[in-house]
Amino acid sequence: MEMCIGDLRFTRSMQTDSASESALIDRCRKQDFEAFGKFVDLYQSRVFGFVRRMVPNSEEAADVTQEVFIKAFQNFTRFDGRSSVRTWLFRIAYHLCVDRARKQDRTPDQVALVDAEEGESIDLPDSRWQPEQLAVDSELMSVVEAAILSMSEKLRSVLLLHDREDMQYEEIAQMLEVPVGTVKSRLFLARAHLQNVVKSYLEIEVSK
Amino acid sequence: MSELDGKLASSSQQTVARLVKALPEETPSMLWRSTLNEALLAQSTRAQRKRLIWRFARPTVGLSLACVLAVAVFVLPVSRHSQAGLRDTPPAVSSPDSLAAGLFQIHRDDVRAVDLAGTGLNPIEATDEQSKAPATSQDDYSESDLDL
Amino acid sequence: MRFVALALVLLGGLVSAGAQTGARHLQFDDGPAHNKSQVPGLLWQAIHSAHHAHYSGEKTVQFLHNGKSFSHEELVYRDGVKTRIEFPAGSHFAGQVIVEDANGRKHYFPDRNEVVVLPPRREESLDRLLRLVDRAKQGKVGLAVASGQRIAGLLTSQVVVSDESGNVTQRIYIEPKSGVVLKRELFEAGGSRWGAFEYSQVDLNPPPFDPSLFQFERRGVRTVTPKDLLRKLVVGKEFVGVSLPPSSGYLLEESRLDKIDGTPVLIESYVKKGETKEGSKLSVFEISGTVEPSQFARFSRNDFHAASIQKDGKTYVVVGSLGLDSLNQLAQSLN
Repeated sequence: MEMCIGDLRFTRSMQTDSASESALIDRCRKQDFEAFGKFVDLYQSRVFGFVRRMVPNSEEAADVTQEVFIKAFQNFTRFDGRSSVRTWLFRIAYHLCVDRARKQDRTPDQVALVDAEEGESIDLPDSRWQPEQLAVDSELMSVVEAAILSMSEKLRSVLLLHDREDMQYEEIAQMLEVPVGTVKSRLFLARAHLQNVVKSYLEIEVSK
Repeated sequence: MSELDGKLASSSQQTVARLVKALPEETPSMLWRSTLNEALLAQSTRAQRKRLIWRFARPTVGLSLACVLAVAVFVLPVSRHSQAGLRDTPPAVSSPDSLAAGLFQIHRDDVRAVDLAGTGLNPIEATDEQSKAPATSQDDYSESDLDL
Repeated sequence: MRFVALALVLLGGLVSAGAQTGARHLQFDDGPAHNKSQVPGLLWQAIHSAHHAHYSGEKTVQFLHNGKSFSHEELVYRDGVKTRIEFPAGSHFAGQVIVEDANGRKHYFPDRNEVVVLPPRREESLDRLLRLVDRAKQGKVGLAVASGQRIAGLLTSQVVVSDESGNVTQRIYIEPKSGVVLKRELFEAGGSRWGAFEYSQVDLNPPPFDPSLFQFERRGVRTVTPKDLLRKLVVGKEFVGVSLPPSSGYLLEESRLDKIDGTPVLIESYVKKGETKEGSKLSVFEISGTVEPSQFARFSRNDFHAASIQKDGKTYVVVGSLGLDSLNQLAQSLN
């Protein structure tokens, strides 16, 4: 078994075998405080990371993340196992983020992209871009973070849930209550926007 | 595979996906976790209180008291009597397996607590078990002053 | 063309900054492993800083104990081997003061107006880091470096410690220039976190500290030792409170009462004077009743062993990482 340096999250530490996770979930359903603490340990970083990128203000993000876990604790008895517990938890997180954004009436500088239905042609960035040579450094990461923040909630949420949380299209579609095709097209648009931003950043760097 | 699936699988799209994956991890602070624990504990206590009130609203208290009295009157004196007096052979500890395992666990916990505490309070001190010890009286003698 | 050149420059910077992007793997199976015996320079930096660090800050400590979660804040002043710890106003421990240098430690309790003189603890935690390095070289633990987090406003790098099964047991977040550990998380084998500390504020370049900061002198305060506390602890109880003699090389740190599966136990924690390769902590347990020595052999592992004697109706058990012969000698020396 391997652990990769550079995979900044050592996922093995968060992987429990399905039997022990089932046992943990059963205890959480019974409002076992200690078991729920372990549940929080397993998911707090991922949930906070997601919320932090959906709700840019860090204090608010911390508040929302707390609300997520409090709500999960209160409602665990109603978790029926139809979806994975991860999907259930992130659904709570997503809806709380959306509620918070609506309360704040926050409208980020949204990318002027329109949801594309599957099959519509979409302008692709310059195909001469050579992404294989792209090297990751902290400045580039900051650019990526800013680009994510500049997207609409719809695009941002799909990008984070799929590319960062490794959720399947069907899971995301179920969570956001949209068709799978819509999830795919939002993902494509979100990545295309990010690609444009990164390309522009590199061109600016080159021209300096 | 649809056209959109093909586009999503392209190298440029996958590179962007890797960039998103490589974003740094975010972990809430310790203070955040402490606050959450308190909030959850409050929730847990409220829920427990509701359950308890419901359970004990029934007339079971009297029955419980009667059982406790019976134990106090009939059971405890027997076990105390069995421990009193001199014995040639001290009694074997019941559950030696769990005792031995427990001793090792205590030692392991104390050792690993060093990583957490460093030069600060260790978990025993921080849970106040030590500080509950009564103060030494003025008449007690003290060992030699190490005079740091 | 310029884009390609920039990408190559960035790639070079990436390699030198140590921010590898996935090319290196660590394996913990029985086969040949990569980098098993390498100890990250970052960890050496942290070990070095244990002797030379100069900083002040506030940290939050959190841990699980008997299934419950506890946390508290500490105000830390550190100057090489000297430490002073206080507690914020409003803390449960407010008013307590801990000062420590190479020779010893004093812990002041305002409610009892007592200062307890203790062996120093810095060596213990440093010793643990050094043993971690030894075990990494033997391939018994895995060490990996990854990007850290921003802690107390400072960027850190992370040393990830894993056991032989690959389970992450610790994450140590180190400020790379100073080597100061700003956060440390400790995990059970199953992955849940049982303890952690994290600095919420830190000043890595404070002005020179007044030497008196690391001394504690107060008139009218009683000085007590761990042996005084042990003596007091056993008054009126079923325990005798024997202890290891000073000639054993072990100093009593603390004693407490506990129950294991309903059996009352007196626990004494010792620390070895000076450097040791074998682990500096020892526990002595006093139990009323008899326990067959063979019981302990079953729970011995590579790391800890136990030796026991029976005397006057009591069983005394010595647990530590020494060999059995040494533990037996120590058990025989209890008085």
